[in-house]
Amino acid sequence: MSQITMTQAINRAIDEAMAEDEGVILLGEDVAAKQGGGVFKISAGLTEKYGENRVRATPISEQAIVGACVGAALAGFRPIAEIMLMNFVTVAMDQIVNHAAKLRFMSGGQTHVPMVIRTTTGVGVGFGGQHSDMLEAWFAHVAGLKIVTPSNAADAQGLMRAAIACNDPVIFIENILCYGLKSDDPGPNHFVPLGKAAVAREGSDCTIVTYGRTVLDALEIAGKLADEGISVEVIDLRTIAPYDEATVTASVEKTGRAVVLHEAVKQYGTGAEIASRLNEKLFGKLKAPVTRIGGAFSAVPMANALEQAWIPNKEKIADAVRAAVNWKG
Amino acid sequence: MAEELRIPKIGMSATEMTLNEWMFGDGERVEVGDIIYTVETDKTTVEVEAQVAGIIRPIGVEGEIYPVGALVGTIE
Amino acid sequence: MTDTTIDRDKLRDIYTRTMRVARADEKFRSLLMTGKLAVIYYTVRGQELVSAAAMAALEPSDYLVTTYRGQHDQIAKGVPLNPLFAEIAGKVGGTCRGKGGSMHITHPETGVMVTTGVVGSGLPIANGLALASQNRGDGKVTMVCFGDGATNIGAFHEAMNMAQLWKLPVIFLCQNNRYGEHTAFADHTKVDSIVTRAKAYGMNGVKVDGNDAIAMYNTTKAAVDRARAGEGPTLIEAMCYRMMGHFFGADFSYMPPEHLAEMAAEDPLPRLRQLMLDHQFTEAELDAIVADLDAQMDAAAEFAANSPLPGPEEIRKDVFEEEIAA
Repeated sequence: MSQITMTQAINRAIDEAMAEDEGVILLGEDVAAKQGGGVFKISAGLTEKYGENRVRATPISEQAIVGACVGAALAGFRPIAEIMLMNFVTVAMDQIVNHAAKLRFMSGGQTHVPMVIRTTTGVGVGFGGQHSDMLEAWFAHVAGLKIVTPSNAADAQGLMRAAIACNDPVIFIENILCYGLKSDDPGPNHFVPLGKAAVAREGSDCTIVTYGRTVLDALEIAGKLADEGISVEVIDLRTIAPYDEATVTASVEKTGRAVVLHEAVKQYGTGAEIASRLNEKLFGKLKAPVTRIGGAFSAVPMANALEQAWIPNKEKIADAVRAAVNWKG
Repeated sequence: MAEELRIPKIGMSATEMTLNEWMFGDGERVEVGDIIYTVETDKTTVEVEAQVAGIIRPIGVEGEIYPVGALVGTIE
Repeated sequence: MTDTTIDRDKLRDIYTRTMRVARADEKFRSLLMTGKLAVIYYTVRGQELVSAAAMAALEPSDYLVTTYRGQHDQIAKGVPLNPLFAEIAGKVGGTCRGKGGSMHITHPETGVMVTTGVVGSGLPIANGLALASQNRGDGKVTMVCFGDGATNIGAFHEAMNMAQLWKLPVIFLCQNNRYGEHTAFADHTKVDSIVTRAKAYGMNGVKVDGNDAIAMYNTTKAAVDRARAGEGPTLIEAMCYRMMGHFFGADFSYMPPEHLAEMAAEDPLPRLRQLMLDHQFTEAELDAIVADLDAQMDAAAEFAANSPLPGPEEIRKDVFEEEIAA
């Protein structure tokens, strides 16, 4: 079977959506052919097909980029904003939080904002404190936004198609380290529904709930722990918010144990929300406390040695699972 | 039907205010636009104008503090 | 050279729009004064004409983006009074079923797409509406209204640059009422005129006396025609006055007496009335327009008073397309 990289998968999803609907447009810094099709080449080839009116390279103006997408969405378009790196969304927070997220509600449903904000980030490439953060918890805290992140190429394609088709604003988080990941080619017009988690590996002793790049770590650890006789189930949320609570709860009800894992800083992260909800739903049925693993509470450091110390490492993840399984109360 | 006079919402934060002074006595005639009473918040004093003409019947007491929306008089 | 003549029907239209704004504002202040309505309210006294003349230059299908101090813009654009009054009162019969309030009036049927509560945020959004029109070739123009205070926030500058870069069919209408909240123009901006900022973006810029009905209308019309013809955006700086405090009941003793005197002398309402009389409209004709509007205001206030309050289930609706489970 032929394979496809995550870069190709996202490009294909956008290409298909643009071919289908003239209202799908792409705005972002350097995204057009003249600038090389985006820093990560996600929009390569799209200008040639759809023209510069639909693939618009913008000035470095994040507020104007997101604001223009909000306006175009209100007019019935399905715009995609590319915010080069996730830390730069900070410059556009007003447009995202006060407008994209809330206009449907504040207008009493008269208008809505079907737009996608594509952005990338990731720890492990030495980009330091202002180019690496996972900031999904900020957006998960705002009613009206959906947050999606793929862990493999096929899901990236399917989630992007679903995100563009969604009638609400979606923040689509890509991870720099995942662009080269390959999946079996899912073929054209592949959709992965939003709000639906995947059981990436089945198991019976402990559930790791995670999303994005750390799904790979979780799967690797699950393989290793199987050799120790520990059976780990890995849930890939795919949609971080609103997340698939039914799948997560069912899995943890079965295993009785859970570790919530994310690359983002642990404190006040999405792991806290998931752990808390598991506690509320399954208190009497849990065989061990639900624990969380996330990035360290500091800016992401540049030096590789420090960066590796910052990131939730695999041994720590394995230890958390072992601790849950060996919990004696 | 009598026009009710209720303490207006003034400004961002005031939830109650002092009824400062009645400019007309019970039974006197007021015209539209007359300043009929004043209220005071910690930030400002506001003159309340009559929105209808008629005979005024004050209920609220000068110097007392009233919440926004409290009935302090009528114009008949 | 801006045209100095105007068609009589257009003048009547401007007068009616102006008085609709003025009588609605008067009605709201009356309801607030007697405590029948207890909401935060930003009176538009003094800026009635500027938006009436501007909106008279737009088509009903053109888009408008305004601010939380933009009730004059919404009414002049044509938002019907009953749902407007009900929205400000927080009732189900409101434009937004009571979920937006005076700061977020939305009414797509009359082109009012966004009313933002954040100073300056409307400009980037207006670009997007205009971009959609440009790509579709639907001939619509987008107008975004804001005050002088909004021209010092980053969004203004990002949006101006992008609009000119892409020659978007958008009109930036700065209603320079000489105060940003409580801060006088000279205390927040060093240039003499906002319109000089158009030059920095290579944009067409025009300054106009916003209380001169004919000049205001013709200036806007020229900008609208230009935008519709694909010639790009215009920044209009319309000089006007905010004749009362920032919000209802606010102290405005910070305005110096000479400013208050200047303001009173420039009051757009008597000035427009005189202009109408100069154009051979009779007192009786003008009074009839106002009487008709007052009846509409009474009916709208009644409608709002009788409209039910929204139920708690509304909190779960319109967060997303699908209702959130209870």
